[in-house]
Amino acid sequence: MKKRFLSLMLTGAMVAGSLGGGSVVAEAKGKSDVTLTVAAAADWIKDRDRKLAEEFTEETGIKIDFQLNPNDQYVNIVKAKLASGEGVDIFYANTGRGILEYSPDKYALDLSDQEWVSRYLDWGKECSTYDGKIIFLSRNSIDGYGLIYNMDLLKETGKEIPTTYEELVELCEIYKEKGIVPIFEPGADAWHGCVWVLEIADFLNRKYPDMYEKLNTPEGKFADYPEMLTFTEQLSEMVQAGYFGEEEDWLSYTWNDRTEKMASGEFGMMLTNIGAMDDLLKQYPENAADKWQMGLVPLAGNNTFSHNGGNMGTVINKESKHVEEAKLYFDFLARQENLQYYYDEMTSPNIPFEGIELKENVLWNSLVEACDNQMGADFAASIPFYSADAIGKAYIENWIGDKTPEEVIEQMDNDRAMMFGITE
Amino acid sequence: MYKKKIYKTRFLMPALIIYFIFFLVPVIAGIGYSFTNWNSMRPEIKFVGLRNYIEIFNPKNSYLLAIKNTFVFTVTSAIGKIGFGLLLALFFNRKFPSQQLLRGIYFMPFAISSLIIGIVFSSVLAPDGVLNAILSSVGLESITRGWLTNKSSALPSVISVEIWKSIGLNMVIFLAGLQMIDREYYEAASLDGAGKWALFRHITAPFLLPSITINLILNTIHGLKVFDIVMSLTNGGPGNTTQVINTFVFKTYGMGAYGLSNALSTFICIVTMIIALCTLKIIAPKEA
Repeated sequence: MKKRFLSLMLTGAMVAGSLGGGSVVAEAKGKSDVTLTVAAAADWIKDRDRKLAEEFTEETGIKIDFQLNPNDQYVNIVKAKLASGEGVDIFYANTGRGILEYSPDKYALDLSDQEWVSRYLDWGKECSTYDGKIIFLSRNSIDGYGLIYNMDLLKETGKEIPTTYEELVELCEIYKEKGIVPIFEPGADAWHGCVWVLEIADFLNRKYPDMYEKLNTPEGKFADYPEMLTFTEQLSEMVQAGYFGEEEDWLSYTWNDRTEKMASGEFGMMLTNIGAMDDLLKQYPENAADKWQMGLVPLAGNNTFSHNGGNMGTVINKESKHVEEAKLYFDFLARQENLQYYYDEMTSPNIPFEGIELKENVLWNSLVEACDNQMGADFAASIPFYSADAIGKAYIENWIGDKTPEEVIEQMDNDRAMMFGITE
Repeated sequence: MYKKKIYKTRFLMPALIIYFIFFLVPVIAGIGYSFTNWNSMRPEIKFVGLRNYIEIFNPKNSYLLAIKNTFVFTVTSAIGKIGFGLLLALFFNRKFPSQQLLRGIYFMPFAISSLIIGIVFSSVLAPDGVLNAILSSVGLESITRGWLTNKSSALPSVISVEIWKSIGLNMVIFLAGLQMIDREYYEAASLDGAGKWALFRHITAPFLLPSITINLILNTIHGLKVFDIVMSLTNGGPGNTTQVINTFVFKTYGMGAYGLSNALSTFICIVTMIIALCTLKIIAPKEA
């Protein structure tokens, strides 16, 4: 019996030894054998992220495991993981009000004392702050939606980028007569239907300075702002006039088709954010400004640019067992040379850190010029329960004749009222 | 003597425990949560009575459309699957070369993932897809369309794909039923001068009632639970044209309204149970 017990003990010790061996070896070399899990949607992790992760592993021994999820299910999956206690070490989230989706009080680690925070620009600090604490490492630019124009086609019409609804309609009519589809709309991705109306947000906020304050309460309604209805009606008129092309065609286009479709010369313009046009711009390294420019969405009198207030950022899960390693990873990513490398690999117009050598972005320049520097945060960055998919579907229902513009606004208000009711 | 042949009750325990933990507990918890405001924004959960159920039946929301679509999908797909499944079973219930191979081919779609079927049929039914190319080549250009993006053809197209996918299972169940019928009944009736229709009506149909019951119940339950084929083909679109209850369960869950999501699940669970029990009650006593 004693022999058996002894042999069991020895076997156990050997197993334990072999399990812990890696750690011992790693420590002997001065490196850790920890693996940090980073949750992101499939589209968000680029080659530049992987390269930086590899260099970090080389330097510290800490491995980075990017756990990629389908774009439209990312939020659900990460929230489920966090709630179940098997949460990831680091996760991506929208800066600004976007973090509210992830119970930041419970899961977001306070990073205010980190060295790199002192190198944030003011807007970077602002969009990375929740409840007075810095919780994001944000390395992305401010971005937003505007109409990108195929300048070759536009020049052929002899027109300028439209600044009013009437000019936009006039241009679309010219395109239609020439057999060009005026606007590429990826209707199969319903969320895109909601980004049109995002672009009236800053215009309304300037006209009604207490709008965001009101829309942050259950009493605030979109229907209280008549320009919302005008915007929706004008957009509807454009769709009914055939500016998206044949209904069955635009309903089958996806967001992933955008680069190919716009480069095909069959479409005059599309509503897009700047970052999504990376691939298109890279096809014209020498003369991108001659080929592509962006303008505002000039519906309902809009003459300002609404942006997302700071884009995506990364958060350290407060409940992670590897908080110190995750902080090391953030330190590494926020090093000046790594930020510069990250930025150089993008076509983004800005980055929320000081000391980075910025390069010109033709789309950003054209948008800033179009809005005469009048810009501000959009609805998604400023109010709760702005549900992209539900709003997008309501707009598509309007465009295919299942809802009136009034019913679209009513639906947006009802959905928000329901969510306020549920969470009160 | 007889008692010795019966297993002890404790042998039931492993199955009962697994069933209780992995089925009954989640279902009961789900029903409980459907009466709360459980959501992703607030940690505390409050009892809200029937408020989630009132939201479901509020005509301002699109849930009523989803309920209607779910029933249309269930009824029409069940009729299609049973009808075509029976025809195929009758065809294959006789000997001819390649009979086994053809049976296998017809059953194969049922074994393929709905996601893969969704991806394949999304391109087949696209405006520039294979179906429209075939229709154009035989002079039927006038009826070509974006089958999944046209609001009048989207739901029928999804139902057609579902029928195509599940027809094999229905066929197999009917074939099993047909092979249980003694050939002597047919021989005797034929000697008495019965025609093909009389043979089907007075012998095949009554003996097939158990198979019809099984297919009806399985198709009804499957139809009411429909989710994957709709998500992969249309994602509920265009607009909300093809939304069904479970796509809204998924959507409300994504919005973080877990209580409401559970209310929708509970609703469809209760409806499924009622329909399945009624079907059994009405048809089972008539079985041969």
